[in-house]
Amino acid sequence: MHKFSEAEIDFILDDLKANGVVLEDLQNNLLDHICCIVEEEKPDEVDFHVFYPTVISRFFKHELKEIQDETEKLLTFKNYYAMKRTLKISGFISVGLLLFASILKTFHLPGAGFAYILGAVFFSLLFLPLMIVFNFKNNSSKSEKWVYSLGFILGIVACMGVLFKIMHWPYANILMRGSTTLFIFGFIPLFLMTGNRDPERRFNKIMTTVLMTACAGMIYSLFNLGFSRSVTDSMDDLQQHIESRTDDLRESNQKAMLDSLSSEQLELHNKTMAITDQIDRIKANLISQADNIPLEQAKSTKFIDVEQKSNTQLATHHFVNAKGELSKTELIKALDKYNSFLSENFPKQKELLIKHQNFQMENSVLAVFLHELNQLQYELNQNEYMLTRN
Amino acid sequence: MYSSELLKGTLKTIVLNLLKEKGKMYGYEITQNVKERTKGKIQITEGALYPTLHALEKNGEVRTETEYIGKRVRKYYILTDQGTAAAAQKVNEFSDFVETMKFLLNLEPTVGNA
Repeated sequence: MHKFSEAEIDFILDDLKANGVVLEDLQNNLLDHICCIVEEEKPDEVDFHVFYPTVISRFFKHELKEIQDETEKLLTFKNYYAMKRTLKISGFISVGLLLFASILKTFHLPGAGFAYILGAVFFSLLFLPLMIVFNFKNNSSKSEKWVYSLGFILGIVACMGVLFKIMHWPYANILMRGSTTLFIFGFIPLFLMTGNRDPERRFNKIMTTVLMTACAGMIYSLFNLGFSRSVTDSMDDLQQHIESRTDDLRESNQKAMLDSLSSEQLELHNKTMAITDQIDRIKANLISQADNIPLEQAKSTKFIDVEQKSNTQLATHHFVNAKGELSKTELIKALDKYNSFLSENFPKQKELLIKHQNFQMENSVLAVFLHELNQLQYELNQNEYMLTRN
Repeated sequence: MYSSELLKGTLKTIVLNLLKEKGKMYGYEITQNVKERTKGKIQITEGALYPTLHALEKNGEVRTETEYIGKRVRKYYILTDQGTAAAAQKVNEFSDFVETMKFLLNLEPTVGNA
């Protein structure tokens, strides 16, 4: 029986590694197996290095790496099915949650937001990423692998955009518009161009392209959809009323100054005037930026005449996140001081305090900001009216 | 010697059942045992045996024990409880398959039940 030297063992191991057997477990198995064959079958007079090629050739048909490939294939086989099952389960869960959330939302029941978040997270952060992995494992065409993955990534971004939109979080429009634009003008042409050789698949691809373009086009058209005519008309009427009522109150309050007022009432008048003027300047700044008109013209522009009322970014940029006198921060400071003054000098009138926390002044269209600011001016002047006429 | 196509679907059954009988075996021992028992009619190739053994280990149907012989590492394969159940199930399935094939090929006029 052949006695192995360490050099011969190293020789076999090196040969296995050099021929693509990289799994250590498999190397050990093959090494022992080869040693057993040599020990059992090699005649004493034959040299190990002469006998070795006849042994190793039994292990493969074309090359030794086949054994490594076959092992890897069998080892990943189970993962493949586990992944397929996860894909199916996550798909069903996300679709179920989204449908459930839609029902809750339709009937104005609580929990819709939470179900939406959960459904969207399952769909875009589990199902779609798994689809990318699945596509990479399954698709034989290299170009299709990349193109389809691009589609799934854009799908993830679009889903996140929709979620952000529903939850009124910032950057929803950028996510939705960006991903849909790239989908229509980037992904769809690439999808159509790749893997067109098979005539049957080509027909299916063209049909899929038509469907995807139609769906994406319709979604795109929804982005610029404003309020319905009846809502905007009603809003215009309401704002016209608030603005004219505020003007009347201001005029009346100004006239009341001629009467003998207490020092607290005079100070209240001055404070009301100061904040009302500050709001006037904020509104003028926003309108001037939105409609691209001079500030002087914007000062006299009424709500009904503002053209870009559905602008979503402007108020956030020039008011909410702005700095200086025309910022939201400064307005809130002024309102807090006003509330402190009211509490100190008119302690019985707590219901007149300005509850600025309730104002809708985050991530909304310009119309909503203008409405809230008008409402604020009205409340301030109404307060003054009530506190100077007793 | 039978063709590799014929043996392909039965390798797991052979290995699991052999381990059930012998307790623990290493790769070369398995090939030799099958060769001797079948008088050379079934010869398991190394290229098919080791990927199967690794897959069985990954699935939890066999566990391993290692023995060091100098620089060599010998891996013994032992059935787990899951593997014992799988061996019985595979033998039953194969037995039924043989019965069905006998009927299909008109070797014996009965049909299996599974």
